[in-house]
Amino acid sequence: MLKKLKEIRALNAFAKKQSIGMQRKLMLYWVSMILVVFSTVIFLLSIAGAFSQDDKQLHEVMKLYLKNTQDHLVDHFDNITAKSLNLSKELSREIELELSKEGVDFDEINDDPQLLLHLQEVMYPLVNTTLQTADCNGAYVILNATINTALSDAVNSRSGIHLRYSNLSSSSPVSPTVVYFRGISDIALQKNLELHNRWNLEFDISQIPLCFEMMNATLDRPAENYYWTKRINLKDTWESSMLLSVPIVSSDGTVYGVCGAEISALYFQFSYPMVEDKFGSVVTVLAPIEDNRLVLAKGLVGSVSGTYLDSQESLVIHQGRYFNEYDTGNGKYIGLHKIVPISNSELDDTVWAVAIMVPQDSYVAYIADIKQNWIIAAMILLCILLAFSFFLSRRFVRPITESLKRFQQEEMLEQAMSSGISEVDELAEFLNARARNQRLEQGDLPPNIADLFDQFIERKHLLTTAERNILRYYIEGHEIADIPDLAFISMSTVRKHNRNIYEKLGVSSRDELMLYIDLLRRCGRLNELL
Amino acid sequence: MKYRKIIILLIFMVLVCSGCYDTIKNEETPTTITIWHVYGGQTDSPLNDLIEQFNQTVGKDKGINVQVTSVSNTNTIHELVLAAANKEPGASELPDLFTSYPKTVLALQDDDILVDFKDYFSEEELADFIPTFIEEGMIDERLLILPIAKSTEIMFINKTIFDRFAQDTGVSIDDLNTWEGLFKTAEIYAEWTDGQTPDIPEDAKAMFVHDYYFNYFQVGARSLHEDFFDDDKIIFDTAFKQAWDPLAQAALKGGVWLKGGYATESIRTAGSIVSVASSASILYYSDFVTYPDNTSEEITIISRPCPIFENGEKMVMQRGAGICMVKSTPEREEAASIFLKWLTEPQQNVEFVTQGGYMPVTRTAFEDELPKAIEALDSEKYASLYQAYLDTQKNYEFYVPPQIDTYLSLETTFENNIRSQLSSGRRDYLDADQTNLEQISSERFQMLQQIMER
Repeated sequence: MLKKLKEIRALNAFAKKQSIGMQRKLMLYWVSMILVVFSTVIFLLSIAGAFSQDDKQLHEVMKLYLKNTQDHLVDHFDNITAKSLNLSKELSREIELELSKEGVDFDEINDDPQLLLHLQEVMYPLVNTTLQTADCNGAYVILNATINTALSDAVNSRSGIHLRYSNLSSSSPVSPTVVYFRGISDIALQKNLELHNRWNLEFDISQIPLCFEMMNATLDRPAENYYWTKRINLKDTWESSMLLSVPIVSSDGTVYGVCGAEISALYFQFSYPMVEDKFGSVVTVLAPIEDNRLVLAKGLVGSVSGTYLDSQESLVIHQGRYFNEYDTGNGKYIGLHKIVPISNSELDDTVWAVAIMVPQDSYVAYIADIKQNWIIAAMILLCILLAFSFFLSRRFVRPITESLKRFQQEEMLEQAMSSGISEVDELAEFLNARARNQRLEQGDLPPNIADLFDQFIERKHLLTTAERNILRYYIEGHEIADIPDLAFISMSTVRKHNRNIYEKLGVSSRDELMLYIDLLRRCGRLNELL
Repeated sequence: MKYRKIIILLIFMVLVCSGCYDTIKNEETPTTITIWHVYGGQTDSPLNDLIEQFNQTVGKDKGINVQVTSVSNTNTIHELVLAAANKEPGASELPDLFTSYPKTVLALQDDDILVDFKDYFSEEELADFIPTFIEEGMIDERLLILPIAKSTEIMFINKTIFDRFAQDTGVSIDDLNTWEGLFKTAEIYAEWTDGQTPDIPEDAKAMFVHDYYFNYFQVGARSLHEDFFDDDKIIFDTAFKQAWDPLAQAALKGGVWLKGGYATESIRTAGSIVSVASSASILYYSDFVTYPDNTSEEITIISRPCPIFENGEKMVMQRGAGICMVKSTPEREEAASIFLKWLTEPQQNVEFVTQGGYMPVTRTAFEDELPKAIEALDSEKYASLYQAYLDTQKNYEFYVPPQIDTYLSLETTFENNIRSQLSSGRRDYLDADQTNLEQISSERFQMLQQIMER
């Protein structure tokens, strides 16, 4: 580890020794600045709650869904309860009437098939009307009497009628088929009703929670003693239901039995369809709360289309700031719930709650989708900023690199064009001055002098042959007076040639000409003039 | 140049990230497909259990959730499908899959709402299906009905009560092998039951109940080498009369159950003790009967091949609806076809059919899986059924009803009228102090003919 650390340090030291290009360095500064600003913005946005908006939004949507669902469900169950209370009242009156007509007490109807058949014939239209008018899929009446008390299971066997819709495919079927689930089969034949595939003559009340207790309690008003059972499986069928139990109380307080309505899991599924929301599939649940769990196996679940929610599960409730988490063990759901008092009985202390929930996975996927958009937008912004920084740094460095290039090619003259950056110009001037001094120290001519010499030498091509001969005599050290003899020409001709030579070589006098010749000689460039 | 590479790399990363997120999102939401089926009626449905198994295994892997939104019977589904397809007020939304006989598809105004299974099943996959089953689902050269289970008509006998009756009267269970013998036995049963309560006159009990008397006459006529249909009319000829006579005689004497409902209902209350019904009705037969005083008696139900006419061919009705798929989105159709492929895989198919009294639909299932499944059956009721099934398979010719648009209405009209005519005949016979049997039978025959020829 220590060795590795040393290696990294050595690498860092080496990198520091390496010179970095100005553009890259500038780019690095830009990128650092962009990242700092970018992170700060993201940080400030997250502090301001820009990224937790979805949770709040979900909370608001959930609240609204819950309120609507709760209102609908409470109305629905109130309607069924009212119809069932009315059924109880009418049944009580009819039974009393029939018993008085027959001149028997209620206890005497046990083991009397004819009387029970007669009572069922009287009760059938009332039960059927309740089924047809209440928003339910079944209606029933159970009398606290049995057709055969001698049977071994007579204690749990009770006579009554249970009518159910079969072949349901929606919550409000136009022409539903009524099947005869429980009751004396003669009535099914009379009314041309199909016997349920699992028809039984009597009810097994051990299958109906609290039914026995209700029948044997002393009760006054049915309206103060009704309750919804937890969901029970209808024996030997694929269906399960919740039953509303309302006592049938006679005028003297005798409980004749119970009656009420049925809501099956399938009917509830049709009545409370899944709602497709941007957060996921919103599912409605009505279930008892036990030990901080929503027990779906004892309640009803609306359509679960688009989710894996199983109606047999128990959901552990974890309260949250915006919404609750419901954990099945296999999957998590998020949502809200509210306690709804659908029962009103001292016998039953079940705490019922209505909940709406969406799969956490689909909410997470939705959030991920939003985040993905954020990430894409941020990445695009980052790319643009990086490209911008690249462009700016290159533009900033270009005059410097170009100047440098010119330095390298020794093109930087004192009168060179300005780079546009004062510091660069100053640097160039400074470097020029230093180079000039260096050259002078090494015996080089200042560049303008050299130019003058070059121009002077270049002009020699303007001279004629005669003028060039006369110039050569001067170079050789002859005076003007020597020229007529040497060149076999007159003095006036010499003077004329002299004027031309001065003019063409750009000098004003013989002294200036001789100064050039002397200087060229000193510079060792005199042969270029010849 | 380097920077350009970095930028391209960043863009690429962004695209890859977005792709990943999309995949994650799709995996979270299952494709839910709905089904209306008939397997199980109101009892524990074997198909529902299998669907649950599918949802927990293959469905979970592939993001498919199959939901049963109705377990019903084919006639109800027929009505619901037609109402939904015609967009009648109050009609339910069509599910992705529904159980159907060809009569439902033929009655659809536009069968283009259904998927041709050839689009989702390869030729190789379809080649393993039993060809006659596939042919039954072919409508206008399109495979609109996929067979998933097939049944036939079987005779079910409440052996417990029949044995008591046989002991007292000397009849034999073999008397039930022919229709003539069966109805004669029914007459004896009516006398026997009437005689058991001398203080209550005319309380003869029915011995026999048929789910569909329409099928009895239809298969009967064909087995006697005559046609039953003339286009969409019934032919009331010699064969029909030959089938009518023994039935009417037994019915007038009270030996035949003529009230509505399925055959299983009267067996449940000992209202009758012998039935001819779909093999799939095995699910609905209880192991006990309930009497009016709420006492119940444990019974043994045995199965025998369907009776035949003495001079007729061994012929029996092939039953068992198939599955239709409603056109929706490619994802839903694909999901539904994955489920159907899973359900018709030999192992699942045999598991499903043997719980429901059906036969599998592929050769592999028939040859490799079914014998093992039959051997493993621990219920005597089911073992007896499959023995009767194998006998039928071996010795009988299967009759497939013709594809007539008005088949269902014809069947319903006939079924209601024959029951009402025979019930009226029974009353006439009792009113005439149990005389004029042949005359009453003949009158009722003519009445039925007149009604059906209207």
